[in-house]
Amino acid sequence: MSGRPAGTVTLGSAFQENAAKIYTFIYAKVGNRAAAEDLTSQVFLKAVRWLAEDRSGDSIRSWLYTTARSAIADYWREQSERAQVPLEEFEHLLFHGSDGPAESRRTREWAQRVLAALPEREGEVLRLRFLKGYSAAEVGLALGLTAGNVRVIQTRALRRAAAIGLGPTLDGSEKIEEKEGRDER
Amino acid sequence: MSDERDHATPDPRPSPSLEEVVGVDGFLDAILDERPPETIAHTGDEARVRIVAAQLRLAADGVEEARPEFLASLQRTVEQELRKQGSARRRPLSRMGFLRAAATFAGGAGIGVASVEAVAAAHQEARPHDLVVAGNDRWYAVARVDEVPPGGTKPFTAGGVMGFLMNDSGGLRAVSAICTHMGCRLKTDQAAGELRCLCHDSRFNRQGEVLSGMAPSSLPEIALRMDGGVVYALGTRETV
Repeated sequence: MSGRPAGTVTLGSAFQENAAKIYTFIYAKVGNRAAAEDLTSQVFLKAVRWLAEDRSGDSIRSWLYTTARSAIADYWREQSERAQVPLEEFEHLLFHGSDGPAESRRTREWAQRVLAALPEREGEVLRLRFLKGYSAAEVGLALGLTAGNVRVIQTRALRRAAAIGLGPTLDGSEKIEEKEGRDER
Repeated sequence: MSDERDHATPDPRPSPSLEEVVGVDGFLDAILDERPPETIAHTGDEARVRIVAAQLRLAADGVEEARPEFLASLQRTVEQELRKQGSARRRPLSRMGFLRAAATFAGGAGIGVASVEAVAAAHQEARPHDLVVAGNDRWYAVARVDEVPPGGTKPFTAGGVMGFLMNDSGGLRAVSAICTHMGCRLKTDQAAGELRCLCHDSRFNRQGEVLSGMAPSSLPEIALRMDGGVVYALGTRETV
C-alpha cells in the first residue's frame, strides 16, 4: 500500500461543503446570484469571528443557518424600505419552517406547486418567464399576447401567489382560490 | 392557446396600477439576470410580490447552485481571515477548542475529522491542502477479504473517512470517496469503470486519477491492512 496516508482531505472540502449549502439556502430566498453571493460572504466572515471566540462549536451549523436567515430578512427589509411589511409577515412569506438544510428543497417544491396551481394562463406566463427566462415581450410572442398584457398577467399571478404565502401546503391539483386582499394603499 | 380564458378564478384584487406592473416586470428582469433590482418596493404589495417571485426562481433547476469560482474565492477570504485572527490573538486558540469548533463545519458530506485537522493546520499557517492526519487515525474493519470480487467496488466509511474499496489487478486498494473539487460524495460508474461526481461531473479512474472535470487533484489513497480474513482501512476517529 503506497501513496498518501488516509484522511487526506482538504480544508476546502469542509468549508465549501457548508458554503455551497448556505449559498443555496440564501439563493432560494433572494432569487439572484449577486445578492446571494454577497450575503453568503457576510455570513462566513461573521462565522470566522464567531469561531475565533472559543465557542464549543456544537452548534455552528445551526448558527450558520440562523445567521443566514437574519441576513435574508435584513436584505428584504432594505429592498422594501418604505413598504412597512410587518416582521412576522416577512417570516411567513420567506420560510417554511425552522429546518434550514431542508428549506431550499421545500422552496423548490412550493414553487412547482404554485406554478401548477395557478390559473392556466397565469401559470403559463410564469413558467415561460421563470423556466425559460423569457422577457415579457418574448412570452407575448410565444402566447400571442402583447408585452403589456403579459406584464399585467404576471403581476396578477404573483399577487395571487403572495396572497397564499408559503403555507399551508397546497394540494397540487387544487386551483388557488381567491384570498382576502391585503392591499394597504 | 392564444385567447384569454382564465376567468374561472377571478383576481382577488383590483387591477394593478401601471406603476406596479412595470415595477414587477423590472424586478423579474433583474433576478432572471442574476442581479438585485434597481428599484426598491414602495408598497407592501410590491414587497410581497417580490419576495414570492424571488422564491419562484427555484422552480428552475440548478439556479441555486453556487458558482465554483465564488466558493473558491470565499474560501480564500475565509482562510485569510482565519490566519489574521490567529495571529492577532493574545493567546493562541486552544487546539482542542478550535478542533471542536471546526468539527461541525465538516459535518456535511462525510468529511470528518480529517478536514478539522486541515482547518487547524491552516490556522497554524501550514499549507491548507493535502494534510496528513497525524495521531488521530484508527483502523476500521470495512470488509471481508473475499467480499469484493475482481473488478468490484465496495463503498465504506472508516470514522470520518469515506472510501471505495476496489479489487483490481489482483489486489485490494482504497481511495477516498469524496471529490477533490467541492467535497461531494462520488458515485461508482461500474459500467464505465469510473468514479463520478454528480455535482459537477468530475470523473476519476479506479486508481483515483482525474479523467475530466474540475477536480484539481487525484483522490487520496486510503491505507489498508488485512488481518484474519478482514480488511481494515485507516480512517480518522470521529471525535477529537
